[in-house]
Amino acid sequence: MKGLLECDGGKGVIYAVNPSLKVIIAFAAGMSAFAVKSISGALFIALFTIAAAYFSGLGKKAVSTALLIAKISILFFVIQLLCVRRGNPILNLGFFSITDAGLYYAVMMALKLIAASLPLVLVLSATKRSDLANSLVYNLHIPFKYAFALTTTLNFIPGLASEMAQVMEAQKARGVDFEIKNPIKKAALIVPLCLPLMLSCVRRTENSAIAAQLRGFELRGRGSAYKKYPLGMKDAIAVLACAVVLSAAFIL
Amino acid sequence: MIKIENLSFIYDGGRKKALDDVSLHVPKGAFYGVAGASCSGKSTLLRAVAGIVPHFMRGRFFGTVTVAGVDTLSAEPQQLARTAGFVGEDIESQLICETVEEEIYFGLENFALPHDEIEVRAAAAMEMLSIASLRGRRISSLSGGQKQKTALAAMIALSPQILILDNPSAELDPAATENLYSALAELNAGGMTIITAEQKAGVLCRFATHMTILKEGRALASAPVQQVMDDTELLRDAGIMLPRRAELSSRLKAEGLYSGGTPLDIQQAAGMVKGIMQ
Amino acid sequence: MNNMIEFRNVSYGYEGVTLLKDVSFTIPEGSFTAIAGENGAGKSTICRLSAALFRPVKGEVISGGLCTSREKTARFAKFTGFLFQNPDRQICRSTVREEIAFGLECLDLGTEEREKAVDGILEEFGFEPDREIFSMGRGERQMLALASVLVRRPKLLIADEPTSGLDAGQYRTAAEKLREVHKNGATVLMVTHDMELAEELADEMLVAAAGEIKAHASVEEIFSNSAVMEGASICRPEMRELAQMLGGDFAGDASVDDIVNTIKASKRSGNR
Repeated sequence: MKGLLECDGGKGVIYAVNPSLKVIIAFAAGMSAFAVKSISGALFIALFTIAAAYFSGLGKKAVSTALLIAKISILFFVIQLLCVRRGNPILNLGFFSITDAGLYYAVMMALKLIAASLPLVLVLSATKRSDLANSLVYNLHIPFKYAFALTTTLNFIPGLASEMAQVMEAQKARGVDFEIKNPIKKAALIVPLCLPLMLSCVRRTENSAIAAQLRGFELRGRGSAYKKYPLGMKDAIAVLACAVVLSAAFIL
Repeated sequence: MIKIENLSFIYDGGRKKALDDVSLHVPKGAFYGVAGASCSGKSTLLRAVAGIVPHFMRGRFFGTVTVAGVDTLSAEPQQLARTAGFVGEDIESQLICETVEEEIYFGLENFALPHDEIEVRAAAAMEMLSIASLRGRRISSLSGGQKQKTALAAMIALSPQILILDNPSAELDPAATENLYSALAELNAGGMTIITAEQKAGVLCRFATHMTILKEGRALASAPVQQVMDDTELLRDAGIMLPRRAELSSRLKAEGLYSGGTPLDIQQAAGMVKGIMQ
Repeated sequence: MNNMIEFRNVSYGYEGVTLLKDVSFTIPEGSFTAIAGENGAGKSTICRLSAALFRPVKGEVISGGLCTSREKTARFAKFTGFLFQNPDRQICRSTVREEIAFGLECLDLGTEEREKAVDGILEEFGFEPDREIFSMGRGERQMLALASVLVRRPKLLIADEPTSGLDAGQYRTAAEKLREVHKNGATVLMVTHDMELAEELADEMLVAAAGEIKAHASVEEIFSNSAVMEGASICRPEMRELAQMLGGDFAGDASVDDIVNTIKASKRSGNR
């Protein structure tokens, strides 16, 4: 999970496109992945996303993220597999039976989940928070207050994860056994730790808000940012390519 | 530069007065150190100068605080920020961007400075604190001292007349503390008025020009640093850890061997002993 | 004497970053060892490896006779107390009493025994039991964290910067507590930048720099070795530094008392 949504800068197609635009494209790709009717359509979007990632030097990250989402979608896969009753039975398991239609829908569901979330995760991994905030203000005329709140929330996730890890470490040192296998018992150990975590988060957020305000955060306007985010040829090509790929996915 | 008159403050929900009838005048160009035991009101005093108290942290406020001629009660705190830059104790939560460069640009961008000036000022601030080489680094990868300097550079770039620091050495090792205070002394020599709260009196007395001693919200003393350091009884009473050189001089005084001032650094301590030996 | 902790050719790091390189040393049972060095030298990593919070990438760490790579962390927590630099990571209850009691939850104690231990430590530290932790200052929270570690009567106490951020009164209390724990037989491993504290409490010192152990000797020996001190940017305690600067009769003086006595002695001989 470490560094999943963090951007360390890089070169390649995903980095070159305007920040606001690429988030919009990622959303469009995600929605399309849900809307496509065939396995091949969803697969096409997923593969294309991975290819785009590969050419931005994010190939490894794309594959590992896809695997992570695949793990999460196992649950959905099983439910689909067991609950779809239409089609011809392949295997009988007492009360449940697995049908060919069930298998088809289960695979499609898992693939759609991967194809829908992958683009956004990758785009966020290839966009600096400040660029995204500034571009939302510059290109989409969103007030800085909201753009900043949005990107700070994104920043908050890795921060929260590392804070949680440290709180857990401290409790481990006091003999709380997080190394047990039983996930329910483990959750029961973690839940009480949420209180100090929430308190420290509230305190931190308050401090950050004060620090931001003291540095004139509320005065910021559309033209304030040091970098400019004009839309150019690259962005037009990106939109065109995306349109072609997504249309193709619907036809497939 | 800073004029505090009869300031008392009780935080909302607090039982005790965090500050109790404190008056303090900080002249332009001074390097003021605020020392005291924990919960003596050091942080509250600095927050009042920056306008955080009572604008962001509310409570009952009595008395007046005037910073560069502006009454903090009537001023907008973000306008105050360009006069008095504040760096709080919890550095992590004050660094709000991803990289050092972005952090320093942040304030400059907000105040809508012209483009070429943003770059000039950011570069000068980083140069001043010798963190230019960290420019593109991710903030989460920095050490405590580097984070402290980044927060400071972000403030210096806004070229405030006053710099306010709350316990800046808390997370630093001795070498980094020395390094930070040398940088502050250099800024002070350039004309910036500085006010810092500090747990370590031994460091403070080497760099500050004046000191204020707080105990349970009251100011026990505010005077040039030598004068404050000479009153070792008062420092002990306020729960301040004396540097060993001050303990040595107070022992020698008690033995009737010495009658001069408290040595502020180790060279002065050596001078004191040599003087006695002659 | 048995060893409490033993590092055998230990290396540690992650994602291409090396934090500790082939480190070996032993900490005898009942000793008080200070770890000194710059930030980032690997001091905290050594502490975490000793408590099985980290496990070595290479080599092995033996703590209390058990190999940290083969046992669960909880096993080591039974006899180890770990005081973190940031008390807020450790505190997870809302009142002083609950927090101290939580420290005991993972030890197999009877209710009565537990209550007695909590009451004892509350009195020892002079805490109000029902005080809301949220309203306490940073120094007070750190003292609370110390109390909730000491209530467990650890055989091995690992303290990461136990006195940073404390005022004079709290500093004295913390130093006395550490001394007492050691006197009662515990092995203490303490990371500190405060050489006066190390001088006062510790008998041995580990000097770390850039992920390696540069020296492991008595405090006295370390302070007289300028090359080691400079290599790890450690400042000698102020009175030792002063004695060094003055030279002559002062050579070897280490405390305020020593220097005062040297002055008096030379005055007497001068008058004679």
